[in-house]
Amino acid sequence: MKEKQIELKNITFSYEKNNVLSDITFDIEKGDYLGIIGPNGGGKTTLIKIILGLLLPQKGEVVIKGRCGYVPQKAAQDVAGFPATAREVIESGKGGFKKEVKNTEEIMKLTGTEKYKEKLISDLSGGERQRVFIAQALVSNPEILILDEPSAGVDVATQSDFYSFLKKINEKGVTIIFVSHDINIIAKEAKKVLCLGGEKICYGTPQETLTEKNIEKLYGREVNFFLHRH
Amino acid sequence: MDIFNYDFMIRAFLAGFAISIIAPLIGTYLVVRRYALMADTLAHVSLLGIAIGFFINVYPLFLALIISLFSALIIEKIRSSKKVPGDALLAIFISGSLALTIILFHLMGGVGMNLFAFLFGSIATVSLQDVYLIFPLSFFVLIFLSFFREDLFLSSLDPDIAKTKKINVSFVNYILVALTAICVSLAIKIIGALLAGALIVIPVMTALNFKKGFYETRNIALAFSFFSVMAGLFLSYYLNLPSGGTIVAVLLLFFSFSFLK
Ligand SMILES: Nc1ncnc2c1ncn2[C@@H]1O[C@H](COP(=O)(O)OP(=O)(O)OP(=O)(O)O)[C@@H](O)[C@H]1O
Ligand SMILES: [Mg+2]
Repeated sequence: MKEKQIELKNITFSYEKNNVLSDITFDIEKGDYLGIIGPNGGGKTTLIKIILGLLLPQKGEVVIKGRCGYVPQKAAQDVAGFPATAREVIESGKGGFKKEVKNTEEIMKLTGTEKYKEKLISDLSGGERQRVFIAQALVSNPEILILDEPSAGVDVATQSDFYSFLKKINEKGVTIIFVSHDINIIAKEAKKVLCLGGEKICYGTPQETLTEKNIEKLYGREVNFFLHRH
Repeated sequence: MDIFNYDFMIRAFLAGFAISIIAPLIGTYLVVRRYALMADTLAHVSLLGIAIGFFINVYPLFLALIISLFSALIIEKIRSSKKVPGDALLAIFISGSLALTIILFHLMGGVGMNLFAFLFGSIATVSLQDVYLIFPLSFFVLIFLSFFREDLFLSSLDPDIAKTKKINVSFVNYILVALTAICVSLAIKIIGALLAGALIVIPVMTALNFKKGFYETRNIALAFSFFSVMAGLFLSYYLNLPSGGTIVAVLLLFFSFSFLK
């Protein structure tokens, strides 16, 4: 039995009167690699923010053991105009974690951001900028890495590099949680899957969860998708 | 140089020097947060403080400081609750404080010229007491800025990421608006309530045209601010022009040239 790292118990959340999440319960173990999938507005980003403590649920409880690194949805696009170099952004990832900090040069090598570390983030491509934000998250040496749609808008080749990179980090013992709309990526990369459509539709291994029936329930209608089983 | 034979010019240069250093440092954070109008708003609120000071016969600059600090914290509190649109909130504070200011000046009667000096800045109004207040407070602002440097950067870049990195973002925001309040109230005498925002924003906008990283942008802004204030004060003395307007004209000149870069 592995050690539990994150426990969510009966999480219910609404923005004012708009109920977004109802009664979500599940555990994540140390070293897990969780993919979250679900329709737009299904509450994926909201759930992530609850795990991170950025939003407080009206009901339920979150128990979390370990530091989190966070790569927000569209972080890379939203700050494109911010006057800062890749290095400045990455180094700012230390934040309040002065003691836990990893060597930033090492992180830049690992994430392949070293080549353009002195460039402005506004001069980088979307994928390059995305890596900068992952490097920033990794600087504080997180035990849990949470990424919200990290590979949206990233080309196929870079995407495959990116996921083998995440796998490497996961093999080093970092728990990973990521959101993706790509069923195939989730099926291929994640060890566990959460299907989220306002409530927990299913949770388990990709084989258990990514069935036609579940997917239909998740999106509220029949969806044509091809799953490449590996 | 005969310019330094006058005590009021020395005082103006001392005050101008201090302000020209802290304004762009604070301005860099305000501009990247799209919060530049906060400086303008607090400058108007400071003006109200000055008016109240004259009205109740208490050291006006001190009251400007207190009132603008207090308003800064209130504005930040309302803004962070997200219950009202931020820009409209600032508009209310701008026009509200101007309205109260003009009423107070009217009630005092016959100080129209005085009001003009605070609206647009006048070197002749900088007293020794002002210099004694401006220097230690500017130093205090510098200390805070350097202490919170990294927290300010990350919470400007992305507040959510900052929170996950154990930074108390709302506290950092309060610090930033408080420092802005101090800066603009100190700047009022030299550059005027209507023009103080320019000193905070234009050097940063000029520096942004150089397309550099964050801290380099900040340093370039600092250089432009310093040279513009010094040049503005010289010109204002030799050409017998109002100091606030002259400084802003120099700032704008640099800003226009920065597009040629
Ligand atoms: N700050 C907010 N205030 C009010 N409602 C919000 C807010 N953020 C999100 N919502 C609403 O909550 C619901 C869930 O949003 P959330 O961003 O969690 O969905 P998501 O699953 O991440 O969607 P996407 O796939 O589009 O990223 C949506 O209906 C959205 O309109
Ligand atoms: Mg989302």
